[in-house]
Amino acid sequence: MKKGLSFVFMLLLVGCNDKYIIEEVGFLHSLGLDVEKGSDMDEYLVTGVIPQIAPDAKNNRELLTSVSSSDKEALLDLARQSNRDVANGQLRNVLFGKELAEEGIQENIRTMNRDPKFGTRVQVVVVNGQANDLLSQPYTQHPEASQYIDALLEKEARLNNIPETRMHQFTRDLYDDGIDPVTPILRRGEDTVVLDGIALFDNAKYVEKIDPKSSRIFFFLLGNYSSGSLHLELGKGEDDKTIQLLFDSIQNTREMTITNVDETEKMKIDIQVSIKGSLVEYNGPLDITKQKDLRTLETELENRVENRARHLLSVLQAQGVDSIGVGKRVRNSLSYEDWESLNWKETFQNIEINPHVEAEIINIGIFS
Amino acid sequence: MNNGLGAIHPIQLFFLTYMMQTSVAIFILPRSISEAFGTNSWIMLIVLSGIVMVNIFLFQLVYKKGDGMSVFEIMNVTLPRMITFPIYIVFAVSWSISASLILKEYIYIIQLVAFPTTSFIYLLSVLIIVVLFFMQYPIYKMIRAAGVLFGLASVTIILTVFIWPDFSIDRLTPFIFKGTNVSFDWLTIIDQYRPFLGFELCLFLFPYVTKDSHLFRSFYLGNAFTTFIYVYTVVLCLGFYSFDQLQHIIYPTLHFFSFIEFPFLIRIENLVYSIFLVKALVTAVFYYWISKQAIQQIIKRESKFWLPLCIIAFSVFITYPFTTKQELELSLRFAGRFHSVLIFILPLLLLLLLYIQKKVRK
Repeated sequence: MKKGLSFVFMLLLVGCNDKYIIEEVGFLHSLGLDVEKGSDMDEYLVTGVIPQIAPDAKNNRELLTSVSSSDKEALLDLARQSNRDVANGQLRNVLFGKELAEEGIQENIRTMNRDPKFGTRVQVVVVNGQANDLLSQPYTQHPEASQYIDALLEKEARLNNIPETRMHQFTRDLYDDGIDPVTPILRRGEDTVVLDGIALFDNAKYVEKIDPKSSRIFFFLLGNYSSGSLHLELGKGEDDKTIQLLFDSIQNTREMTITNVDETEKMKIDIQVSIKGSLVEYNGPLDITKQKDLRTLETELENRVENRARHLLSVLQAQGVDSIGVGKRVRNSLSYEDWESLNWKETFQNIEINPHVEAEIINIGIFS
Repeated sequence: MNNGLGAIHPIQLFFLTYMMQTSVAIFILPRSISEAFGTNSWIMLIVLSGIVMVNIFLFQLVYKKGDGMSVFEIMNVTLPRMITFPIYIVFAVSWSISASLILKEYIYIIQLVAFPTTSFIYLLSVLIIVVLFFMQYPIYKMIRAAGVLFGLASVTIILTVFIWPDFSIDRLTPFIFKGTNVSFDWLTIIDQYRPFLGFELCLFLFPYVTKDSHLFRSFYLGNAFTTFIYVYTVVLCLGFYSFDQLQHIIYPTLHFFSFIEFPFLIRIENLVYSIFLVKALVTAVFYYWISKQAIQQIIKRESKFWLPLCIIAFSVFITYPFTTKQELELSLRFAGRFHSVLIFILPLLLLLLLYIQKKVRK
């Protein structure tokens, strides 16, 4: 009897609260945040992209924009423009306009982390230009811009052309004292979205970008990765044609050696990079079927990569951004007190960092 | 002695220990222990687990010296009712309040993550009905059910494998107990003892186990397993998050599940907190059961339905004002402190009573 009563009571408690009917919810897929220069104060220009599911709708997406002094308020304002409940639970990418990124996005990142609905897998991206401009284009070949961007970023991250910087990784590196965060940077092409390289952040402020051509070099310095390719131009050949080299299916390892860690002025860091891969394209004078010539080409490759790595490091040092996490290794070689008293940003700018590259061509394809 | 109810297998007790100890506290453990002890705080978990082992050893001494007499029997024989009754009331009140707080903490989390506008009391009622159903059965059946629920809860451990690719040993840093502003004192240690609580159930199981149940061995092993899971979780979080980031995340363990993604499933944390329901439930059920045992010493009447219902209603009434995160955390902290001290003093007191009994008999 009592069990029966409890059972009936339990049935009565089967709730209908906090329910979401999928047709009535607009899942925000992409969110663009820009700074809008106001007359007396700067405001946020927020752009939201929601995939359209109404069968009679002409567009594949619902594009909403709003201007407000707070990004959260703008989100509420976006919801007021849609006939559906706007939900953040399926948000895939947050795009920050370059201007806003330069001013710093710490507060936005903090707010997004606080809201449990955002999740940790949202891609953090910088747009070279305005996020609104990028999202509002009617890409004829890819009508659903948000999914297009999402797939583009995922593919490029898989090929190690850009780092995977979801909300988790960005926040993690933002709060880590031994590394600075990075994100992919996109720009608008002609009826396309183009990957424009890697955005470097000093804390939460965007300072510089790495050219997409040097992205793979950045990964050589960042850690151990496999997949991706590298294109090099090795000067002019005999017929005045540029010698092209394409190194593909790269596997790289990185090792860091720190000397004189206790003396800030004399501290020296050697980054040993080892790269292995397939030679897919080469149109130079060397006969790559011969071991000796192949070794010469390997040396050439090592020198080229080393020079570009050195240039990349000089950019990072000039900006004072430790995007490759040298600080983490230095921190782990020091005592806690020494690390706390060290001004790492300043030290990083002034220490000697030398890349050493060792290249190995595993194969030259199946036709010689 | 098993009161003719049925045998309890050691593996069931092993599962029970794990289910009792790990409840929603594991969601906040990596942050709370890092805030308290700083970098590489997982080392402290091993020390705390050692204290738990000593605590279980004290229970074992009570069992040996008292020839398997229950806690209540030992007290009833030596102490007058005037003293035992208030002690039993303290037992009943403290454990029922803890049970209620654990349920409320769980509801707080699911409200935060999934049901923000559903009424608190509504969700609590659903849980209470399940607790009541659970308590209709004899203890050995409850223990078996806890064993089955362990199977469900262990899924979450397997899921953590998908976090490994984003783990970096560099983030653990070589520093030991650095980067914290919390002073290293007794209260800090007692507060961090809370996630281990739950093993005290062992003390109340004396009349229900046989020699073959290997009560203490199961609890030692169960606690060792809990410690392993705790150390694993904290180390995983320290390598997954940066140290400063970890201190900002309210529920780091729940948070990292949201990072796992399958082609057919995203936002796995929603699955995880649902599974954690069984852990919160098992802990609450057995805490209420201890309360019921204590009250039954006073009223001497067996009641399967009304007595548990009254205890639950009382505990919900007492804890009713605690609803915000701060209030819940504070009340849980005080309940935890009280319990930690109580379960250390209790076996000592019982040993003293057994010693007096022996002297008197001589």
